[in-house]
Amino acid sequence: MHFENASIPHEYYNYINKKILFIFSLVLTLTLLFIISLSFGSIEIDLFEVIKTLLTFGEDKRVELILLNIRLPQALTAVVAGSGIATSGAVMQSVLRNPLASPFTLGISHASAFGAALAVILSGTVFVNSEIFNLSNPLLTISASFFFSIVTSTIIIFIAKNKGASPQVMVLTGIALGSLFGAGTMLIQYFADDVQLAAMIFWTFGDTARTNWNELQILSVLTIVSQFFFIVNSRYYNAMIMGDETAKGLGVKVETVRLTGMAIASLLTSVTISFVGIISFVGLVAPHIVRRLIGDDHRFLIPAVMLAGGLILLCADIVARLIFLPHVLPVSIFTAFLGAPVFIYLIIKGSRQ
Amino acid sequence: MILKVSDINFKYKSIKILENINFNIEKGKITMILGPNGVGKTTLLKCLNKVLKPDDGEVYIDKKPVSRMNIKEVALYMSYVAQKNDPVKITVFDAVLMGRLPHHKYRTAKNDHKKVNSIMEKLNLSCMGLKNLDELSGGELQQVAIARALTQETEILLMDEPTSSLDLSNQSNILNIIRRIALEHDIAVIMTMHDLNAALRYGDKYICLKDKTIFRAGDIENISSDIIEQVYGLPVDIVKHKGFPLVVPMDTEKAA
Repeated sequence: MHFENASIPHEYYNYINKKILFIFSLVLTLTLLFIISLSFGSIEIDLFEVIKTLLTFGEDKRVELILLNIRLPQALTAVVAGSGIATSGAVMQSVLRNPLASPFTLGISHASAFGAALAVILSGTVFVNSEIFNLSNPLLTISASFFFSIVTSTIIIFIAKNKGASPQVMVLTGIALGSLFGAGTMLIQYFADDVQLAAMIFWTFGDTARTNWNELQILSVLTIVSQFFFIVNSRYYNAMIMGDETAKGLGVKVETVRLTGMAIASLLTSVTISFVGIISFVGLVAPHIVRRLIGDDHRFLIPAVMLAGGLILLCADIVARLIFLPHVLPVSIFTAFLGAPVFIYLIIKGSRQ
Repeated sequence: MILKVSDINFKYKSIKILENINFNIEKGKITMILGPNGVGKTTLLKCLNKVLKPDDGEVYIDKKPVSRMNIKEVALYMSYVAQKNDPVKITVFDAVLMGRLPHHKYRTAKNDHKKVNSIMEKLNLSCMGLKNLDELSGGELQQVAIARALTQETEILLMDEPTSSLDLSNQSNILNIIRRIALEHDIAVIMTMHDLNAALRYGDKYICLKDKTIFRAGDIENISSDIIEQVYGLPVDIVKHKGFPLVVPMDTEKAA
């Protein structure tokens, strides 16, 4: 690799272009799959009809109703939630320098679920509206969910700082915190009435079908703002994966970047979870697949993980909708089927190293 | 004088690690921090650039107290080469370019690439510019870390055992380059070193730590076998071979 007139050599541009191409191929795949996903469901809609309805709000009111009120928000939720959770996982892995970190494995998802369950029982009533349980006070649910996820993140940062963020320490901490909040959730469920209990259990099944347009808007804005923050900080994450001392030597405020990274990732996770329930393993699987394909450079890793997370959850969502037609299963079942083997593989790979 | 260390004390969980550390560092000189394992060499190095915060005392760069600078400002004066460098999936070129991080706001400029190129060529890294760090050997990783620190273009270079994972040839190559750069650019280099022969050969000054504090300091040619014996607890002899000083351990058990 040689420089002429201080310009970056072509080999480097070729190398970078491959990464950009990968990101564009993800955009393309996600767009195609998104449109295709709208045609699948208990009533199959012709792909041409889908495009026509989306572009011109077609003449068939029944199709328009299904698409705009059911399928479009569901598919968008899958993309936005998957994208947010995956990016949170990637950032957590980088700031803690731990490949096994993710909202789910660190117990943050469980803490968030506990907070939401607590909010459900504190706010008293739950509206039941044709099989969909609407939370009576979404703001309280999000706040409680966020509070407990931040508490968990703080405990994790504290342990990582004092005992080291080794995979073993982090996984054991995640198990302990997950069990603690799991037990807390069970305790709340024990004292809940039938409707609250049903709402809590239904809520813990990660499901992309429950969001309405308003919730989707909140989730999308938060996801975009958080991801923009992560992209802006990507050069600091690059320095931090080299080691704390090296990053500090390069002028990076390591503690601040770690704390803000974990806080924003936790906020994004908790808000996503409070809207769609627990989505397991996407935050672990998507970053690992992308890291393997395009490396650890966060300038490319974060945009690619954003897209890959959306893609994975959308795929899982399509499978969940189609596998037992006309019944639609919660999407988290499929993300767990996909994620658990990857998690075991990472542990085996880690222990070999 | 570029760096002044005044009365530094450092505790880790109520255990005293460093006590009353005072010394001055000159420009264009290589200072070797010597001492047995666990004496606090790395801790001292980290106290200089705010990687660790001393409990008492102050470090001054050009009479400016480091405690009042933010970490980015410190990085404009001091670069740091850690003992352990993680093999991540980032190219050698990007890893070395990271040395320009304290100098720019968001994007690197053409001038930065020129500097990276020049350092990479000096350290024979140009041929591996597009290799990821996880494809490199321990020695190559160390070279990349040194290249990154040199790209940072600071007046003070802190190095924690920079040659610990290098073979004899790379060790000599790197230390010669550091020596040349220190002289050419008037950089003050402070490095911890276990290899006493390399320390005596490439250093100008030494600081010997013993029992949490500085036991002796001065010009490296004045270091005596007595000092080394008292610091390391092993009788040694310093002999000259073809003009180069060599520390020979007088290991009585082995000799017998």
